[in-house]
Amino acid sequence: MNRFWHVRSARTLVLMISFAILLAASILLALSCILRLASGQWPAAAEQSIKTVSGLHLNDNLAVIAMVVLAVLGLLLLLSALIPGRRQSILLNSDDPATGSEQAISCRGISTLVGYEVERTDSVTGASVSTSPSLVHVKVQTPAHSVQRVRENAQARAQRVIDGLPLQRAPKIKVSVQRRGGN
Amino acid sequence: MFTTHVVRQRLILAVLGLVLLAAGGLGLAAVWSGLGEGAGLGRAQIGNSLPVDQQYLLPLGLALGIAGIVLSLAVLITAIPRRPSAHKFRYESGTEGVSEIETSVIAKAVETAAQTQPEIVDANVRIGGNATEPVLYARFTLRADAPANRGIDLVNERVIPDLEMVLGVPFASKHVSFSFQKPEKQDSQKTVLI
Repeated sequence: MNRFWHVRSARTLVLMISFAILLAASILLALSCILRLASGQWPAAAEQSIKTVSGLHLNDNLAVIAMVVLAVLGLLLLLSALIPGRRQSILLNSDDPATGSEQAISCRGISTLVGYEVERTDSVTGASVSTSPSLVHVKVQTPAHSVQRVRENAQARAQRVIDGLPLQRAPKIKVSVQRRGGN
Repeated sequence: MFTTHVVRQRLILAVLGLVLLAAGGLGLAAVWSGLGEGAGLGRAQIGNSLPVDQQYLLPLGLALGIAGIVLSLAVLITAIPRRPSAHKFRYESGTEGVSEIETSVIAKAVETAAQTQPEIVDANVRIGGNATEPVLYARFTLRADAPANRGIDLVNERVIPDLEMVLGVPFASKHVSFSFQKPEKQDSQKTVLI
């Protein structure tokens, strides 16, 4: 079964930016050649570029810089293609590829759920949550002096939320408390 | 709810990356190893092969430009994320003749019905595949202040079976995602102790 929701990033943005640049360069090249065909001379910018390239030596700084840029860009593209990247969802117990059933909860949804519960904890004035398939990181704001107690309460609430979800593999929970306001 | 081609897009990126890396790397290797310097090829002019107004520069540039445009456009167009396409299911029966169902109409009805449930805030449903092997793509947004299990069970035990009953066949595959939304008003049954 091909998964639809529980997939890794397709690197669509990187791909689109790369090929948009390639498209722009190709259009400029083709347009210059067409203008050369039509008018009998290269456009000024194209002529300047051809002169620069014609006078360039392999050991020149400009050529070396261009090659370094090419190599670095190539390496970055290759890495972005090879590094798997995180999935943005967590599978539910009811997920069963054998029966063609894919069921997942989005990481963003879990953040919302945990954030809602943690914000209802006593002495918590705000909470921001980021979730990955392996970790739920809760950042809590409190004006209270007893930071440890707030952390424990927030941790307990977040754990209760995660335990209540039918997840195949529950993520760990990390709570960090920031004291803000109060005396 | 969008679909992308993960393997194909990563493969294209890898090939492009390899080409650029090879071009840059080979050039740098040639510079640093002083390739051909002893043979009088050192500081070879890149432009030796690109003299202005030579006859082959123009067709070569034009061909490369057009090939680049076609290739880039092809990649860009296929990389645009798309929604799973809606289908028209065709049912043929010896006694009742031929009937067609727009899956988008059923999907819309399911979305509306699901949103009437207190646990479900929003629903986004698409039905693909064919009449004998339909495929479900759905995202349900549940209320954060309602028990999550109840919303998930509701979808699995009521919404999807009802949909299968309307279609007359079970889904060949189901792709369901759940999310949550906070209620607009937070409850104030908490204390802030300083």
